[in-house]
Amino acid sequence: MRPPAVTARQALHSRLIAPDQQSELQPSDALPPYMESFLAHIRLLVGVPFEYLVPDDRLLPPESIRFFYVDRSWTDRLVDGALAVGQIGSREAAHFQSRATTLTQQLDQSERMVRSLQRRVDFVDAKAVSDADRRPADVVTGFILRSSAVKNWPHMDVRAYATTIDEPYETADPNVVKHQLKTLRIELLAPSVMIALFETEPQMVILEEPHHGVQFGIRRIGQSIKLPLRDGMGSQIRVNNNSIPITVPMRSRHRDVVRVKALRNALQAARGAHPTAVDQTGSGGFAISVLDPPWRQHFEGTEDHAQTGDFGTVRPYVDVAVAVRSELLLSNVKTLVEGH
Amino acid sequence: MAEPKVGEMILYDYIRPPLLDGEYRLRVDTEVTIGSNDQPLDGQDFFFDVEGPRFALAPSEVAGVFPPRNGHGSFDSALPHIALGRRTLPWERALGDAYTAGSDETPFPWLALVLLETDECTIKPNIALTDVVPTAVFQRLGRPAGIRCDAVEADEQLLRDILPMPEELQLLTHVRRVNIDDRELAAGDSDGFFAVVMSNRVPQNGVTYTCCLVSVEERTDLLPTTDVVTVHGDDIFLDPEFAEVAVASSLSPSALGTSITAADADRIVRYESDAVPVKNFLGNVSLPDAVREGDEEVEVTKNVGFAIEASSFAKKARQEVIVGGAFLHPKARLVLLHSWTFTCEGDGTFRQLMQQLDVGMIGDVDPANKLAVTDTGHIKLEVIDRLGAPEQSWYRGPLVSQPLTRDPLGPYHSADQARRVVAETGAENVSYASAFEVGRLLAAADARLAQELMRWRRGAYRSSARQTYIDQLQIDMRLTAITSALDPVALRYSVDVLDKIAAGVGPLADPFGIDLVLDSPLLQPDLVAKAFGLESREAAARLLGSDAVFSEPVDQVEPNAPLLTLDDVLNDARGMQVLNTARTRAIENAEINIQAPVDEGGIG
Repeated sequence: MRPPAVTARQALHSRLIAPDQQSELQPSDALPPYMESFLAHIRLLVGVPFEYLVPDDRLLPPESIRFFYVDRSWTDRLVDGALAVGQIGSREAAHFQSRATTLTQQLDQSERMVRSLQRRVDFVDAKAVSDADRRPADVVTGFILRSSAVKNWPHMDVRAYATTIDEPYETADPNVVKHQLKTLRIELLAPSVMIALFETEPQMVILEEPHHGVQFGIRRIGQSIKLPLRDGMGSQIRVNNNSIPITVPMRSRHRDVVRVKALRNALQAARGAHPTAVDQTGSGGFAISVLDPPWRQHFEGTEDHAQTGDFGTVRPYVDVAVAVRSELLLSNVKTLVEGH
Repeated sequence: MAEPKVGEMILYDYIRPPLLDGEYRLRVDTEVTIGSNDQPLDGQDFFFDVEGPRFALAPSEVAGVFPPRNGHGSFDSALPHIALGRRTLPWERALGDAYTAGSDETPFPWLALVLLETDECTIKPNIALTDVVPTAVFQRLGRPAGIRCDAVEADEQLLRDILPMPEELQLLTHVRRVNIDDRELAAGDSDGFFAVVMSNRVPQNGVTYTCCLVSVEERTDLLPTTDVVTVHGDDIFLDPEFAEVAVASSLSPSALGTSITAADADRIVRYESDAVPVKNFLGNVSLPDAVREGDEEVEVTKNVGFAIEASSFAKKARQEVIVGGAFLHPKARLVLLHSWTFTCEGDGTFRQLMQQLDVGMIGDVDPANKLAVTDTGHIKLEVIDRLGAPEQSWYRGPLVSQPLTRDPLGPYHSADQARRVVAETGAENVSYASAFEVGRLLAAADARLAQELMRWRRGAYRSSARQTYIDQLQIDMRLTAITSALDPVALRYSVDVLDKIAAGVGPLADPFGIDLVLDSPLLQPDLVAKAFGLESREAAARLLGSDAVFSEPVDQVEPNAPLLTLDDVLNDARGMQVLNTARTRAIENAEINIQAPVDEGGIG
């Protein structure tokens, strides 16, 4: 048997002669910060290879979103595995055995700070916040989204709510914010695959078009292009429930080029009749007038296949018809036929 | 500056950098007056440059583009735009000397987003700056030497038609500040500010576009100053056909001076003789020398004087002029900072993509896929077991379709502990065992973690050793005040000793040292028997005296008062009585031992 690292005698001796009685004793038994942060990260599956999350790509076909619960036993095993590194004898095993319960409780809290850490909040600050939250570990849910939208609209907004909320609503409204679930993780696993984890079970999840990429929207009405008049908050101004269309002036030589200055003047002139319209003081005001509010996609409720039962009420026929009409399929078939 | 709330954004007209890019001189002068005499100290000049992107833009500066790169979708109701992560970028350079803004006026951006149909333009990578901009512009840019950059080349007239006016550039560029709380992570965007440059051209369905972020610094030769088509500054031609013709007249001399090929020039002048007023519509354009010297040129100039307003403007002539205009396509190039292409067709907006998503819980699979997923979410995997034989095992990842209870049987110390066998099929379930192994591999891959783990364990061993020593202290030194390893031992010990001194000596357990004497080895019959090789304990006892170890305890009486002096001791009658009794017993013992012979054995 190896001699122990420190015997009681040595400890007593060094203790009695130590000039500073508080020295280096305090952190000796605590979880080292790096280790705590590492374990908290793998608790949220950060760094776990994708094949382990989705073992078969048919589980996540292209253009799909899959909701899930996180299996706590699985993540506990991850942590067990991580702590097995360097566990070579009964002493290490006994040590882990005696501390496993407290460690699990600690990590239940630490996992709440992972998102802050990922956003480069200092460990001490992040830990202070997560430690203050004394709630026991709750169920972790989330979704995994595989769509070209992830790649093409980077930084979309993702929110989960404990109740369903009817549109339109203000996301910053305190009544709405109080239902918002804590986001534990939002990350891209691949350019077009996004994973999001939330604490507790959401009733509604929304994906919202990224705000810095919000498009400038116009309406094509026949040949002419129009724009609804908007107020300073970006909402359409409505009179008798109708929006007020402003014709977008175009350059005469290129009918697709907007006469921006003339449009601005037209928008400013419309303020005469509708004083709530946004004041055209510069590019900010102009941008509000031409912004389309971001599209907000809702996912609500749970889909229960056990109740709806059969998949094939109408779908197979529709699928076939759609598939045959698909241009991609057609061109593929053509290529095949012509190729031989 | 207010923070944007969740889900909101704030728009700013512009954010002006404190200093524009350029070369600066800082002069320090110190005025000194002694008496009434000025005696200034020597001044000194310092030079510094403020630098920023000018002829190239790192891709990392681009935070997002719309429509998406290589995207296909119905983008025909949206203006393309680009979001830049550096909020001041569009205003870091002056557009040109003619377009400087005062400190409280909106500055002119030097960036423009130009939407070109893909076959309208050519992208020329890595060419010399002098080949991109005309000489005059190069002059105004400060003749930077040795610059190579990317460029976009397009029909000069087209660029002139679609580029925004400087006042429009102001309106097309703004700053957005967005709330970043509910986003995925990305490096470099943490402040939530984005400079956004919009294009002024609306995409048409069925067309593939190249969207180009270009530098228009000093490009007053291309930027239009009006978006109303006029002829000689007078009339507005609302009829597009007329406008088509008329625009040719606004061609500036520099435009034509550049790149007309000999073939083009030939075709310009090769009109039928019936009065094509090309020259007229070109205004005071000076054609290249080669053309001017040709005979046909003379013929064309003969027609100068053709009145614009002539109502008899022959349709045929008009068409020919248009055709002629089309032949006249000098190219112009712009410094290209960033570009992407997209196709405007079908569906593919964010909204459409979202609404067509296949929504489900994990484990929902299309039956056509033939992937067998059990109700519990397990799938079969081909694995190779330890003996090298292929077999099928069940596996389920951490993402499951229903809430599960947490396994209370932790912790596990090896992956094998977590292997399970499914009773119905006999196949192994390796889900948790693989989780264990993944965790182990992830941790082992991280050298720092391994060190921290060792530190954590060592710390625990040390603290457990300390607990042992606290226990020892409490027992051996009777230091009950020590309860935690963090208590200062020396201090507690001193206080303990001082406490005892102050309280005076309490009742002693063995005030006369009798117990101590009795503990002496020479009074232990067992020891004596062994040491002297006596046959039995009884022999030793006899040797030591039958009552050597007092068979009856000596009565120890508590003195009435503390015995502090010798007199006190002598006056303590009861105590003296006990002592005398003990003394008598000891003497009697000794006498017995002297008289009694040893019968059995002897001192060997």
